[in-house]
Amino acid sequence: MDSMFYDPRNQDRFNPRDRVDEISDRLLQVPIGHHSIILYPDLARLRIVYSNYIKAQLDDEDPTATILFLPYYETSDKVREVLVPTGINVKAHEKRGSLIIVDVMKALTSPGTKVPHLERLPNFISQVYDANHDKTLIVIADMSVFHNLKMSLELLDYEGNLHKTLETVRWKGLCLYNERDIETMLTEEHATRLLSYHKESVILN
Amino acid sequence: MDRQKNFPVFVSVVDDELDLALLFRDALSQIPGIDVFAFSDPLLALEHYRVNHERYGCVISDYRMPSMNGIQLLTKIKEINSEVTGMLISAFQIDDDTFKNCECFDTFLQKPVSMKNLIGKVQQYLGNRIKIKSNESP
Repeated sequence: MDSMFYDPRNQDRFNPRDRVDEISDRLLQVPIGHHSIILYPDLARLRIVYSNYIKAQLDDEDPTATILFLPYYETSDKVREVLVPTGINVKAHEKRGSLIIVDVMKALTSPGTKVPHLERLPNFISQVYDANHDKTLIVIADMSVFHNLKMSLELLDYEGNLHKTLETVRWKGLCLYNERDIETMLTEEHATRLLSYHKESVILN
Repeated sequence: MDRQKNFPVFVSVVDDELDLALLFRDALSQIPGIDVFAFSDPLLALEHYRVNHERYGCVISDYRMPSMNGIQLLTKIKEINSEVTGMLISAFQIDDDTFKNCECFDTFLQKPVSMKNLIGKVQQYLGNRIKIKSNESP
Protein backbone atom coordinates (compact mmCIF):
# COMPACT_ATOMS: atom_id res chain seq x y z
CA MET A 1 0.00 0.00 0.00
CA ASP A 2 1.26 3.48 -0.80
CA SER A 3 2.24 4.92 2.54
CA MET A 4 1.32 8.43 1.37
CA PHE A 5 -2.32 7.58 0.73
CA TYR A 6 -3.55 9.21 3.90
CA ASP A 7 -1.59 12.36 3.29
CA PRO A 8 -4.10 14.70 1.65
CA ARG A 9 -2.59 17.26 -0.68
CA ASN A 10 -3.43 20.15 1.60
CA GLN A 11 -1.87 18.55 4.65
CA ASP A 12 1.70 18.91 5.89
CA ARG A 13 3.80 16.25 7.46
CA PHE A 14 5.28 17.51 10.69
CA ASN A 15 8.79 16.94 11.88
CA PRO A 16 8.25 16.91 15.66
CA ARG A 17 11.82 17.94 16.33
CA ASP A 18 11.40 21.42 14.88
CA ARG A 19 7.61 21.94 14.87
CA VAL A 20 6.61 20.56 18.24
CA ASP A 21 5.17 23.83 19.58
CA GLU A 22 3.16 24.31 16.40
CA ILE A 23 1.74 20.80 16.75
CA SER A 24 0.77 21.43 20.38
CA ASP A 25 -0.88 24.73 19.43
CA ARG A 26 -2.97 23.04 16.77
CA LEU A 27 -4.05 20.31 19.15
CA LEU A 28 -4.82 22.73 21.97
CA GLN A 29 -7.14 24.67 19.68
CA VAL A 30 -9.34 21.65 19.02
CA PRO A 31 -12.66 22.44 20.67
CA ILE A 32 -14.26 20.43 23.45
CA GLY A 33 -16.29 17.53 22.11
CA HIS A 34 -13.94 16.82 19.19
CA HIS A 35 -11.04 14.47 18.72
CA SER A 36 -7.82 14.72 16.74
CA ILE A 37 -5.54 12.11 15.30
CA ILE A 38 -1.77 11.75 15.32
CA LEU A 39 -0.09 9.26 13.00
CA TYR A 40 3.39 8.49 14.25
CA PRO A 41 6.23 6.49 12.72
CA ASP A 42 7.91 5.53 16.00
CA LEU A 43 7.73 6.08 19.73
CA ALA A 44 10.71 8.44 19.81
CA ARG A 45 8.87 11.03 17.73
CA LEU A 46 5.54 10.44 19.42
CA ARG A 47 7.12 11.06 22.82
CA ILE A 48 8.33 14.50 21.74
CA VAL A 49 4.78 15.41 20.76
CA TYR A 50 2.78 13.99 23.64
CA SER A 51 5.15 15.26 26.33
CA ASN A 52 5.01 18.78 24.89
CA TYR A 53 1.25 18.65 24.48
CA ILE A 54 0.65 17.34 28.00
CA LYS A 55 2.94 19.98 29.47
CA ALA A 56 1.19 22.73 27.54
CA GLN A 57 -2.20 21.39 28.57
CA LEU A 58 -1.21 21.18 32.25
CA ASP A 59 0.60 24.54 32.32
CA ASP A 60 -1.46 26.84 30.19
CA GLU A 61 -4.88 25.47 29.49
CA ASP A 62 -7.86 24.66 31.66
CA PRO A 63 -6.27 24.11 35.10
CA THR A 64 -9.22 22.04 36.22
CA ALA A 65 -8.98 19.56 33.36
CA THR A 66 -7.99 15.95 33.84
CA ILE A 67 -5.68 14.30 31.33
CA LEU A 68 -6.30 10.59 30.84
CA PHE A 69 -3.42 9.00 28.96
CA LEU A 70 -3.89 5.44 27.70
CA PRO A 71 -0.63 4.19 26.15
CA TYR A 72 -0.24 0.86 24.40
CA TYR A 73 3.31 0.39 23.13
CA GLU A 74 4.92 1.62 26.32
CA THR A 75 4.22 1.06 29.98
CA SER A 76 2.71 3.67 32.28
CA ASP A 77 6.06 3.86 34.08
CA LYS A 78 7.84 4.57 30.82
CA VAL A 79 5.40 7.41 30.10
CA ARG A 80 6.13 8.87 33.53
CA GLU A 81 9.84 8.59 32.79
CA VAL A 82 9.32 10.48 29.52
CA LEU A 83 7.24 13.24 31.13
CA VAL A 84 9.47 14.01 34.12
CA PRO A 85 12.39 15.60 32.19
CA THR A 86 9.98 18.08 30.56
CA GLY A 87 9.41 19.59 33.99
CA ILE A 88 6.03 18.03 34.66
CA ASN A 89 5.64 17.06 38.30
CA VAL A 90 4.07 13.74 37.43
CA LYS A 91 3.67 12.53 41.01
CA ALA A 92 1.93 15.72 42.09
CA HIS A 93 -0.39 15.74 39.07
CA GLU A 94 -1.28 12.08 39.57
CA LYS A 95 -1.96 12.69 43.25
CA ARG A 96 -4.12 15.71 42.41
CA GLY A 97 -5.97 13.75 39.73
CA SER A 98 -5.04 16.09 36.89
CA LEU A 99 -3.05 13.33 35.19
CA ILE A 100 -4.09 9.69 34.99
CA ILE A 101 -1.93 7.16 33.12
CA VAL A 102 -3.36 3.69 32.50
CA ASP A 103 -2.39 0.95 30.06
CA VAL A 104 -5.10 1.03 27.38
CA MET A 105 -5.49 -2.74 27.69
CA LYS A 106 -6.58 -2.25 31.30
CA ALA A 107 -9.13 0.31 30.16
CA LEU A 108 -10.49 -2.20 27.66
CA THR A 109 -10.63 -5.15 29.99
CA SER A 110 -13.32 -5.85 32.53
CA PRO A 111 -11.76 -6.92 35.81
CA GLY A 112 -13.82 -10.08 35.92
CA THR A 113 -13.46 -11.44 32.40
CA LYS A 114 -9.86 -10.54 31.48
CA VAL A 115 -11.08 -10.29 27.89
CA PRO A 116 -10.71 -6.90 26.16
CA HIS A 117 -13.91 -5.36 24.73
CA LEU A 118 -14.19 -2.22 22.66
CA GLU A 119 -17.43 -1.22 24.41
CA ARG A 120 -15.54 -1.09 27.69
CA LEU A 121 -13.49 1.94 26.62
CA PRO A 122 -16.27 4.59 26.62
CA ASN A 123 -17.52 3.14 29.89
CA PHE A 124 -14.06 3.48 31.37
CA ILE A 125 -13.79 7.08 30.12
CA SER A 126 -17.22 7.90 31.59
CA GLN A 127 -16.23 6.36 34.91
CA VAL A 128 -13.06 8.46 35.06
CA TYR A 129 -15.11 11.55 34.17
CA ASP A 130 -17.64 10.84 36.93
CA ALA A 131 -14.89 10.09 39.45
CA ASN A 132 -13.26 13.43 38.71
CA HIS A 133 -16.41 15.40 39.47
CA ASP A 134 -17.19 16.32 35.88
CA LYS A 135 -13.92 18.11 35.16
CA THR A 136 -13.10 18.46 31.47
CA LEU A 137 -11.45 15.23 30.35
CA ILE A 138 -8.60 15.24 27.84
CA VAL A 139 -8.26 11.67 26.58
CA ILE A 140 -5.04 10.65 24.84
CA ALA A 141 -5.32 7.04 23.71
CA ASP A 142 -3.08 4.87 21.59
CA MET A 143 -5.66 3.23 19.38
CA SER A 144 -3.06 0.97 17.78
CA VAL A 145 -4.23 -1.56 20.34
CA PHE A 146 -7.15 -2.35 18.02
CA HIS A 147 -4.78 -3.61 15.38
CA ASN A 148 -3.44 -6.17 17.80
CA LEU A 149 -6.97 -7.12 18.82
CA LYS A 150 -7.94 -7.47 15.14
CA MET A 151 -10.86 -5.06 15.56
CA SER A 152 -10.27 -2.68 12.67
CA LEU A 153 -13.88 -2.45 11.46
CA GLU A 154 -15.24 -2.10 14.98
CA LEU A 155 -12.69 0.64 15.45
CA LEU A 156 -14.07 2.62 12.51
CA ASP A 157 -17.58 2.44 13.95
CA TYR A 158 -16.25 3.46 17.34
CA GLU A 159 -14.33 6.45 15.98
CA GLY A 160 -17.28 7.53 13.82
CA ASN A 161 -19.74 7.45 16.70
CA LEU A 162 -17.55 8.78 19.47
CA HIS A 163 -19.50 12.05 19.76
CA LYS A 164 -22.72 10.18 20.39
CA THR A 165 -21.11 7.60 22.70
CA LEU A 166 -19.59 10.26 24.93
CA GLU A 167 -22.29 12.92 24.60
CA THR A 168 -22.73 13.23 28.36
CA VAL A 169 -19.01 13.76 28.97
CA ARG A 170 -17.22 17.11 28.65
CA TRP A 171 -14.16 15.82 26.80
CA LYS A 172 -11.79 16.14 23.92
CA GLY A 173 -9.61 13.42 22.52
CA LEU A 174 -6.28 12.75 20.91
CA CYS A 175 -6.16 9.42 19.11
CA LEU A 176 -2.69 8.03 18.47
CA TYR A 177 -1.98 5.55 15.70
CA ASN A 178 1.26 3.98 14.63
CA GLU A 179 1.51 4.37 10.85
CA ARG A 180 2.53 0.75 10.35
CA ASP A 181 -0.64 -0.42 12.08
CA ILE A 182 -2.77 1.80 9.86
CA GLU A 183 -1.10 0.40 6.76
CA THR A 184 -1.52 -3.18 7.97
CA MET A 185 -5.07 -3.06 9.30
CA LEU A 186 -6.95 -0.61 7.08
CA THR A 187 -7.68 -0.31 3.38
CA GLU A 188 -7.06 3.03 1.72
CA GLU A 189 -10.76 3.80 1.88
CA HIS A 190 -10.97 2.93 5.56
CA ALA A 191 -7.90 4.98 6.39
CA THR A 192 -9.38 8.00 4.62
CA ARG A 193 -12.61 7.48 6.55
CA LEU A 194 -10.71 7.24 9.82
CA LEU A 195 -8.99 10.57 9.17
CA SER A 196 -12.28 12.22 8.25
CA TYR A 197 -13.71 11.43 11.70
CA HIS A 198 -11.12 13.70 13.33
CA LYS A 199 -11.18 17.46 13.67
CA GLU A 200 -7.41 17.80 13.27
CA SER A 201 -4.91 15.41 11.71
CA VAL A 202 -1.21 15.53 12.42
CA ILE A 203 1.05 13.18 10.49
CA LEU A 204 4.55 13.00 11.89
CA ASN A 205 7.62 12.29 9.84
CA MET B 1 29.82 -29.54 5.41
CA ASP B 2 26.33 -28.30 6.17
CA ARG B 3 27.35 -27.59 9.73
CA GLN B 4 30.19 -25.41 8.55
CA LYS B 5 27.88 -23.63 6.11
CA ASN B 6 25.43 -22.80 8.93
CA PHE B 7 28.04 -21.34 11.24
CA PRO B 8 28.00 -18.83 12.86
CA VAL B 9 24.45 -19.28 14.15
CA PHE B 10 22.07 -16.39 13.46
CA VAL B 11 20.15 -14.72 16.27
CA SER B 12 17.80 -11.77 15.79
CA VAL B 13 16.43 -9.29 18.26
CA VAL B 14 13.14 -7.65 17.33
CA ASP B 15 11.92 -4.62 19.25
CA ASP B 16 10.01 -1.59 17.98
CA GLU B 17 12.29 0.53 20.14
CA LEU B 18 15.40 0.47 17.98
CA ASP B 19 17.66 1.61 20.82
CA LEU B 20 16.70 -1.45 22.84
CA ALA B 21 17.14 -3.81 19.91
CA LEU B 22 20.61 -2.37 19.33
CA LEU B 23 21.46 -2.61 23.02
CA PHE B 24 20.47 -6.29 23.10
CA ARG B 25 22.32 -6.94 19.85
CA ASP B 26 25.53 -5.42 21.20
CA ALA B 27 25.29 -7.42 24.42
CA LEU B 28 24.63 -10.72 22.64
CA SER B 29 27.43 -10.12 20.16
CA GLN B 30 29.83 -11.03 22.98
CA ILE B 31 28.77 -14.67 22.62
CA PRO B 32 31.22 -16.44 20.33
CA GLY B 33 29.76 -18.39 17.44
CA ILE B 34 26.69 -16.25 16.78
CA ASP B 35 25.84 -13.35 14.48
CA VAL B 36 23.21 -11.05 15.94
CA PHE B 37 20.79 -8.89 13.93
CA ALA B 38 18.58 -6.10 15.29
CA PHE B 39 15.22 -5.17 13.79
CA SER B 40 12.66 -2.56 14.79
CA ASP B 41 10.16 -3.81 12.20
CA PRO B 42 8.85 -7.37 12.71
CA LEU B 43 7.98 -7.70 9.03
CA LEU B 44 11.59 -7.07 8.06
CA ALA B 45 12.75 -9.48 10.75
CA LEU B 46 10.42 -12.15 9.37
CA GLU B 47 11.69 -11.56 5.83
CA HIS B 48 15.29 -11.91 6.99
CA TYR B 49 14.37 -15.11 8.78
CA ARG B 50 12.56 -16.53 5.75
CA VAL B 51 15.63 -16.03 3.57
CA ASN B 52 18.14 -17.27 6.17
CA HIS B 53 16.12 -19.67 8.32
CA GLU B 54 18.60 -22.53 7.95
CA ARG B 55 21.21 -20.49 9.77
CA TYR B 56 18.93 -19.30 12.55
CA GLY B 57 19.14 -20.60 16.10
CA CYS B 58 17.09 -18.09 18.03
CA VAL B 59 14.65 -15.19 17.61
CA ILE B 60 14.07 -12.83 20.52
CA SER B 61 10.98 -10.70 20.17
CA ASP B 62 9.22 -7.97 22.05
CA TYR B 63 5.48 -8.61 22.55
CA ARG B 64 3.70 -5.34 21.74
CA MET B 65 4.90 -4.09 18.38
CA PRO B 66 3.28 -2.28 15.45
CA SER B 67 2.14 -4.28 12.38
CA MET B 68 2.74 -7.67 14.03
CA ASN B 69 2.98 -8.58 17.70
CA GLY B 70 5.58 -10.92 19.16
CA ILE B 71 3.21 -13.89 19.34
CA GLN B 72 2.27 -13.52 15.67
CA LEU B 73 5.91 -13.15 14.68
CA LEU B 74 7.15 -16.16 16.69
CA THR B 75 4.24 -18.28 15.45
CA LYS B 76 5.33 -17.63 11.85
CA ILE B 77 8.94 -18.27 12.80
CA LYS B 78 8.03 -21.66 14.30
CA GLU B 79 5.88 -22.54 11.28
CA ILE B 80 8.98 -22.28 9.13
CA ASN B 81 11.21 -24.16 11.58
CA SER B 82 9.87 -25.40 14.90
CA GLU B 83 13.42 -26.17 16.12
CA VAL B 84 14.36 -22.50 16.36
CA THR B 85 14.30 -21.08 19.87
CA GLY B 86 11.69 -18.36 20.37
CA MET B 87 12.09 -15.92 23.24
CA LEU B 88 9.35 -13.46 24.09
CA ILE B 89 10.18 -10.28 25.99
CA SER B 90 7.78 -7.76 27.44
CA ALA B 91 7.76 -4.84 29.81
CA PHE B 92 4.11 -5.60 30.57
CA GLN B 93 2.88 -8.00 33.18
CA ILE B 94 1.59 -10.82 31.05
CA ASP B 95 -1.51 -12.61 32.12
CA ASP B 96 -1.08 -16.39 31.92
CA ASP B 97 -4.35 -16.62 29.96
CA THR B 98 -2.84 -14.56 27.14
CA PHE B 99 -0.31 -17.25 26.38
CA LYS B 100 -2.24 -20.31 27.41
CA ASN B 101 -1.62 -23.10 24.90
CA CYS B 102 0.81 -20.91 22.97
CA GLU B 103 3.70 -23.01 21.75
CA CYS B 104 5.38 -20.32 19.71
CA PHE B 105 7.99 -19.41 22.31
CA ASP B 106 10.30 -21.40 24.53
CA THR B 107 10.86 -18.86 27.25
CA PHE B 108 9.51 -15.53 28.46
CA LEU B 109 11.68 -12.72 29.80
CA GLN B 110 10.24 -9.82 31.78
CA LYS B 111 11.69 -6.38 31.04
CA PRO B 112 13.85 -4.88 32.34
CA VAL B 113 16.09 -7.76 31.32
CA SER B 114 19.65 -7.76 32.61
CA MET B 115 22.21 -8.32 29.88
CA LYS B 116 23.71 -11.11 31.98
CA ASN B 117 20.36 -12.89 32.12
CA LEU B 118 19.74 -12.43 28.39
CA ILE B 119 23.19 -13.73 27.45
CA GLY B 120 22.77 -16.64 29.84
CA LYS B 121 19.41 -17.62 28.31
CA VAL B 122 20.72 -17.51 24.76
CA GLN B 123 23.77 -19.56 25.74
CA GLN B 124 21.51 -22.03 27.54
CA TYR B 125 19.23 -22.57 24.54
CA LEU B 126 21.94 -22.53 21.88
CA GLY B 127 24.54 -24.15 24.11
CA ASN B 128 25.25 -27.38 22.32
CA ARG B 129 24.95 -25.85 18.90
CA ILE B 130 27.46 -23.12 19.68
CA LYS B 131 29.85 -25.45 21.52
CA ILE B 132 29.86 -28.07 18.77
CA LYS B 133 30.50 -25.43 16.14
CA SER B 134 33.18 -23.73 18.23
CA ASN B 135 34.99 -27.03 18.73
CA GLU B 136 34.85 -27.72 15.01
CA SER B 137 36.41 -24.37 14.16
CA PRO B 138 40.16 -24.46 13.55
